[in-house]
Amino acid sequence: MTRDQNPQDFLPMSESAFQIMLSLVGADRHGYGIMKEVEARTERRLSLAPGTLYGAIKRLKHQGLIAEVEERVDPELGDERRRYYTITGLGRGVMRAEAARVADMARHAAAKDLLPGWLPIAGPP
Amino acid sequence: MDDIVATSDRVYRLVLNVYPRGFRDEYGEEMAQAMRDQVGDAWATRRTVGVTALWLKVLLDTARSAFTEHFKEGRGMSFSRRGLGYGLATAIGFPLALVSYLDLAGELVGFETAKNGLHPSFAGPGFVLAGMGLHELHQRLGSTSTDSKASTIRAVWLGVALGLAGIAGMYAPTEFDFFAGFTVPAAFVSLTFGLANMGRIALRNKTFGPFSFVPLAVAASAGVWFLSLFPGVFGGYRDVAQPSTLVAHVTLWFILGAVLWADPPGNTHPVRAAEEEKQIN
Repeated sequence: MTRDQNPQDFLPMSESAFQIMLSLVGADRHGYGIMKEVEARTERRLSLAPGTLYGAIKRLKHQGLIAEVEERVDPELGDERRRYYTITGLGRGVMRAEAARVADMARHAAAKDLLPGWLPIAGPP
Repeated sequence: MDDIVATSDRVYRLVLNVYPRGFRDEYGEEMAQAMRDQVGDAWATRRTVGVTALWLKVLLDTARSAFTEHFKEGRGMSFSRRGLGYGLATAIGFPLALVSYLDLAGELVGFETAKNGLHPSFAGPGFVLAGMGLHELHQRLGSTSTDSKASTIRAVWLGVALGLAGIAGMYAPTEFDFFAGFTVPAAFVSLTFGLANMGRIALRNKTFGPFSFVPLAVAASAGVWFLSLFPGVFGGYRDVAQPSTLVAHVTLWFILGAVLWADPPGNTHPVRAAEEEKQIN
């Protein structure tokens, strides 16, 4: 991966990829930790199974959007060592770009009264 | 609970075999770990119902994600998106050539064989498809000796050439029919040699396991189903100009042309090559 990659090149993201990366914003997590966080945040609407999760992790890692940090024990889950993942600088940029894209779509929808309760704001704050 | 988790773990480790070898090596242990955690949670909250529901979800997810991983694996016998087209070509081409030749072979040697109804002319695109597929899949086997690789490729394309010559012979004046009787079987021998040599190298290099053929089998089934959509293909032939036979021919050659245009054997397509170069960098 080159260092000057444009975050726009990675858009649009799939929902699984977006949610996985979102779970890594602010905290490094292992695979099962990502599953739990995504499930809790989406109120079980999105429930990742191991195949989908690790397929996405493999691709995100290959694209340089996430990286492995270390193996360590999660005290809440026994004494097994677990591989932790973190979001990279490029990954954070891609998340910002994707969030802006989705927000822009939401603004357009709100302007057409498709999102009751949302105020159609002209542009980003 | 420990028994449930341990049993699920043993079964899930078997299920993991459907993923490509590289993927399993890299993530198999973590996936098994995550599955153990999920089974533990499901049992703690909803007992048997929870574990059953989890297994259903995981099995469906495995079927879908294993298929995806085989397609996206990239190099090796695992199936990248690029390899899919050629895997499909082999899966359709080889049986297509064989089945379409069987009736004529029976007539040539004087036996009354059961008519399978596929016009012999379909052996033409069948040979080309099989040759393309074998060539490209062989290129994806990974490291092997150059000599072995070259001999397999030569065998494959010799088979295609013999097959096409034989098909041409079928449409020549009657006295040339014997030509097809020799060349077409020779084509199958040559192609089979290529296929067998490819399998030998792949097994020796441990490039794929028995489950790696699952996507190919699915592709072959899809191919047979696709062919069955044409009423003339499995419905009997007597005249090459029969409209349904012509439509099926045009469609097959169109698909073949589109595949060749989009992704020629040998990874030489300039646009794809530039895209891949960009991805690598």
